[in-house]
Amino acid sequence: MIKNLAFIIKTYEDFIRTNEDEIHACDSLKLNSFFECVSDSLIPLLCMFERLEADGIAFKIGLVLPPVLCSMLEDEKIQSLYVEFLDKRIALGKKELNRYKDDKKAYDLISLAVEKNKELKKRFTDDYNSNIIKQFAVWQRKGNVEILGTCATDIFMPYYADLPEALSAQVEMGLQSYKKSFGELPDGFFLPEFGYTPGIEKIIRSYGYIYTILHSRSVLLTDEPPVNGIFYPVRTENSLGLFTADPLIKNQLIGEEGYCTSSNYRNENRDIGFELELKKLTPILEEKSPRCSTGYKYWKKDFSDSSEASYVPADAIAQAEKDAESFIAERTEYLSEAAEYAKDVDYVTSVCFINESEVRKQWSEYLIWLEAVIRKADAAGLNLSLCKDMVSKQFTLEKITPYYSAGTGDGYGENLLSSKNCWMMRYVRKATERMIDLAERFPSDTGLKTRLLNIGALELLLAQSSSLAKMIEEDDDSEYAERRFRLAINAFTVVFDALGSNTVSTEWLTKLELMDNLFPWINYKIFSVKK
Amino acid sequence: MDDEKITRAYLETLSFSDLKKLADEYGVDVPEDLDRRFLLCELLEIAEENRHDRDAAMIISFDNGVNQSTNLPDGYNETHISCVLRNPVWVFVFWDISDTDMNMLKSLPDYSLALRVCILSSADELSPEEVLEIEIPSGANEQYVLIPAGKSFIRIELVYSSGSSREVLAFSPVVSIPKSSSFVENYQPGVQNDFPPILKLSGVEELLSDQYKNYRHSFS
Repeated sequence: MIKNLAFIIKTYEDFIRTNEDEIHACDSLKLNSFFECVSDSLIPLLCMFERLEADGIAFKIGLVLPPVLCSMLEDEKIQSLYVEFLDKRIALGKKELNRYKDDKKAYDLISLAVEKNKELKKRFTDDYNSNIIKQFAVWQRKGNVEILGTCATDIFMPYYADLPEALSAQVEMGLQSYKKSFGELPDGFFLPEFGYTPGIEKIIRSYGYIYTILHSRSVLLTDEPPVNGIFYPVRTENSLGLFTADPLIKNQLIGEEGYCTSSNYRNENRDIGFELELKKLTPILEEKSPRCSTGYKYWKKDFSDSSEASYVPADAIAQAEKDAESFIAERTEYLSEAAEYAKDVDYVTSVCFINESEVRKQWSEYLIWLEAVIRKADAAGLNLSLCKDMVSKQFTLEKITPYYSAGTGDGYGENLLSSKNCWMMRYVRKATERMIDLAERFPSDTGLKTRLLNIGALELLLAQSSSLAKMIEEDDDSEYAERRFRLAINAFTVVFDALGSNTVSTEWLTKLELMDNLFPWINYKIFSVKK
Repeated sequence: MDDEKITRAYLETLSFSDLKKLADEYGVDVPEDLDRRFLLCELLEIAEENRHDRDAAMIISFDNGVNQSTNLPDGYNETHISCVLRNPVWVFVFWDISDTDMNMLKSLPDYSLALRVCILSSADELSPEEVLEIEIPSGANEQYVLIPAGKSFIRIELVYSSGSSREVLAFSPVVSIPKSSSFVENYQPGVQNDFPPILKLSGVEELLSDQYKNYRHSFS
């Protein structure tokens, strides 16, 4: 029996305003984190694909590149800011080389980081012509990569189950954005935070999606759990294919005893950006700048080692190889056991879901590990697969009625509606109800009203993003999240009042359109009641 | 081009290439095989629409500036109650009371507010089979409410009482409580379950134990 491994990496970064006269401090911190995603995950992924292809490795990998991320990466201003970001890192690196000119170990480490930034700049500007989204589309066309579609922003769908127009709007915008970025339509739909509630499948299926991925709670805690458990896809009553994310993966990678905890890996929490005096951190940080990471991290996770530059890249690479071997051995055993018990199927599969930002922030070497896993899989009898290739017999799959659940909180998304962030709910629900009403009241408007309605729809989509609630709950970039939410709700309220009073400030509207320049082709009618 | 000038008489004077130029100006896509008469009608229709839009145009204000405020309104001046399911055990309830209703309440000699949890036998049932009442602390406008075990549909009402009178101010839509499988409801820790090995390998026992730990209330 075939044993499949299906990797799916989900990246997500939140919308960041870069077109203000001066980028707000909260946005500038978030921008730093966004560019780290580009430097440490997105471009390295493309480089990994190139190496694997050059070595004749037939790799397959699933990706979720959400619309906000794509839209930002296609923005010329952001592209030029990324080059600026790399230049500043290179300049700081040169200063650091000077500081450590007498310490060979540290000097070599810094040289590596400087070279890495120079290489990233070359790749980004020369090889990829500043548009990396196009590169991912190329790999999709080659058949190595499957990019899944998702909502416009990461809305937690169960909270809007009684407002189907809101869910349709999110799915429709996600699909339109996908078409614009990748030139085709996706087969797979990524459910934000794996938030499932009965009925959602009807909306997803109505947009032509073939399958989605659920948390194991949704699949197993049903009256009749699937005959083959989480190891084979099933389908809903309306034939939406369902895969189950392997529940063991997260712990294996970043759990308390996960691979990321090895003392040979780099300590992601120690960065000179948080340690040196500000004047030594120019040009990345200026006087009174909020501190942020600079990418210059010299320490490994072994806290007993107090030397100046304890991190040894060669040791980390060797550790990643070792962890890849362990992963392959463990998966082979796991899938072999599943194959023994499986009934009437020709393959078993493990869907390995990786949340890029969650993993990268704790384990910068995760892509070295992943590449090693990919290179070793075939020899171990594991077949790297894309989900879309496994649902070709979609209409013959076993039917189940999935249970309501999520992949965050204690299993139901509780962290998105906690005592810290529940205040958001009344505003975002109200704005959603109002937007649906506006789409009905202004069914075919033109000119200024359309512009108002479109920007109102965009602000609402941004306010519906569940990552804002999550950041507030976890107190991680909570200032950014709160500000972003409040700005979006207030902008929506101005739109609503302007339409009610038939009065608008074109200055306000034009500036807002310029600042919140996502999805310029948005059409507010996505919120219309579907007839 | 001034929309006022776009009349049938004027358009009739134009050559087809001039009409095409005008169509370009208005952003009309002209297919190769489009005839003059059709193009003329299209242009007239657009000009008419533009005139209509202008009539219905918005008043442009110059004093609004760019509002970058992050203060949110205290409420929307309406009496309204909503609820969102937080998990199978808790529902988050939030409400607003309009100024008019609040003034009415304040005029009463001694009033109090409560949430009434109505247990319904089906989603379209109007009269509850069971009612529970939860007192609301003064000034509150949101609350987590524990869902009674084993129930499938609830509706929450915002009620006030004063003296002997008791009225419903607002009521929520019916919330459907998701029902998990019978083996979840009958699960007892320590008791051996007879799951097929592939479900055990899938992690069903860990999920059940986790579910029991966090949501014991939802078990019978």
